[in-house]
Amino acid sequence: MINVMVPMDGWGVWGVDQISLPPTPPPYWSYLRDDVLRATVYKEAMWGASIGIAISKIAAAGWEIESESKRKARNAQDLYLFADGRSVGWVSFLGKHLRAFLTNDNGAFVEIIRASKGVGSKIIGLRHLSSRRCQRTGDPRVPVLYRDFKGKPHELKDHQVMLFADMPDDDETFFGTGLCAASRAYSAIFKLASIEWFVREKVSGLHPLAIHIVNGVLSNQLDGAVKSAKDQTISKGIASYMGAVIIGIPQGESPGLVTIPLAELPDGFNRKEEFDLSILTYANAIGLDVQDLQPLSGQGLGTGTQSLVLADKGKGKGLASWKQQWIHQNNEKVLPSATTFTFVEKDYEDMRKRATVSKARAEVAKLRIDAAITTPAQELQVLVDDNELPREFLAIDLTEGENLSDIEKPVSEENTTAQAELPTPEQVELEATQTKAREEALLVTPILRDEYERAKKLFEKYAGK
Amino acid sequence: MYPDDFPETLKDLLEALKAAIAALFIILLYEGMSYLETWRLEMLALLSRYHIAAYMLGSGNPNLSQGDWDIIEGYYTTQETYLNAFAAEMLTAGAIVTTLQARALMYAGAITAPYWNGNTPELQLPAYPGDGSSECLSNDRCMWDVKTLDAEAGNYDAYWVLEGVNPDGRNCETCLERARSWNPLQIRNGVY
Repeated sequence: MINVMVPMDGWGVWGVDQISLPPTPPPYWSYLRDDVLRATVYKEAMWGASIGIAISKIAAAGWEIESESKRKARNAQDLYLFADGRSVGWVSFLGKHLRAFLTNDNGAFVEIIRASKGVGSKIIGLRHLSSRRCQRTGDPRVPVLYRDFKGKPHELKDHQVMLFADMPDDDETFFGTGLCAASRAYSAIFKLASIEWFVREKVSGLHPLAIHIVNGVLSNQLDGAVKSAKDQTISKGIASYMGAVIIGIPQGESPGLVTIPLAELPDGFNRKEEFDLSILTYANAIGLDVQDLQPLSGQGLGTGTQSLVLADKGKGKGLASWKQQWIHQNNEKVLPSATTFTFVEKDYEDMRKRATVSKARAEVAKLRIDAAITTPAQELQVLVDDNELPREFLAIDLTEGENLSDIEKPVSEENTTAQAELPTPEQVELEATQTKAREEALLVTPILRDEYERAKKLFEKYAGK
Repeated sequence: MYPDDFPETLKDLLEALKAAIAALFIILLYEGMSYLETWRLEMLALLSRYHIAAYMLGSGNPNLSQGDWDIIEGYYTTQETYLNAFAAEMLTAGAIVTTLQARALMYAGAITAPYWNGNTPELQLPAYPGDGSSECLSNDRCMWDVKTLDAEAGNYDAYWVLEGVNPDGRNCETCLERARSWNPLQIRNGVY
């Protein structure tokens, strides 16, 4: 038996001869499952690229902080621009965060770093937390237990952490664990990885793809012929050769050939079709327009009109869910009153549609004024209430009850959520100095001071009985 | 045995501290002299924690002023001195015996004094149960029952209630005397 193979030259140790993804991921839910899901980006190139495209798309999009106070807006901008620290910043932070969101059922976690532990303490930074190190507790007061590098657990209270999950499970025992894009697309990922691996094997000849049984020829004769052919191809600069097992059987009959295929694609298999289906699944799972992953070729993926429809539909998929979660949580947990975070849609199609709607509203307003149904002042009020025009245009607001969308906050609301304004570094330093001074001014034995928090817990435990 | 109206929270806290001290002493017995210093430090931490908690429970308020800290520190420092002496005795003796556990458990009773002090913050009473001013020392399970007559005027009647419904000799002489003479202790205009 001759097994003709391209020598591995040592690189086989990296596992090139196997698809290192299981056919199905581990059962829902465990950290092990997330380990496999996270690894998908390494194991299937197109999936890895799709995640990369999704991240780039969001990172490249703009965002805005809207606030009635310039200082609040500037402080909030710094908070996001320098997320994960000044040396890391927004884009890198977002890359880690989105990758965690898209490839972990456990979701993504962001720590809200405060000057001190108190609920109303000033927020001084945001930090991405590795999903693998975060455990959902189901306790609304302490929703996350974070394990640091040394394995030491840290309780993260509700005001100290934001939790994100795609498609959270409705079973309360899962504490909000979701079903991420990698989970939803897993079968497609595995299938495409297998197809690509098969093709790779076929072109590289790493494995026997068929057994050829040849009679009338001795194996050593075949061996010599193959070696000679191989030498010739190598001399031509062709590195790979073939993947076949050839068995020679010495018989008196005329030479014949029987071939047993070991790995062949099924009849009617269309690689392009399978590839396109996988891409469509990826786009659906992540929430991207399929054109983001593969330029329209006129085949398989539909027409230009179809693509526009897909683009519109794509806005309601995975990443849209993440965007809403991000905006809501940041507006409620991080930003002070009357200050909001919004993503800026740099989409000319959206802008065109908005302009069309605005034009229609303006025309309706004109019609009502011309028909003496309303006055210009009343129409101004209507357009302000519809967010067509800025509120500053109104001298007196006749309809004080506001229409607030999910991403807006009341204009003049007092700070009722105990979220303090974002501090300047000077304010943080001042607060730290004052805290230290207060502690030093408290004339009490250090051991009593050290035990205060534990004593308070005892108080809470027994006082509640 | 506790008086009938003895606060349940204090009772629970005392029992919890006793259990903790007993467990710590068992470790000391098992580990021997090499654990003595650790035991002393652990005991001090326990005592400080429970003194603070007892005061908080007495006053019903976890936020402490400097004045509150001064009171707690006074009680705690007394116990710290006793505990250091106790540890020094064991060190000198070079052995830890099981009979010493009863003495260790007495430290638990010491938290009754900060509880009652915290419970009557507006009054400066002449003594508090468990403050060591009676023969029964920290084993004291008596309690103060304060009736407010006119808070603004500072008028109160404070009763020293003995342990048990029918005192039968378990009470020390000082406590019996207090129950007789402070029946009630009349506080008028904030002065008794």
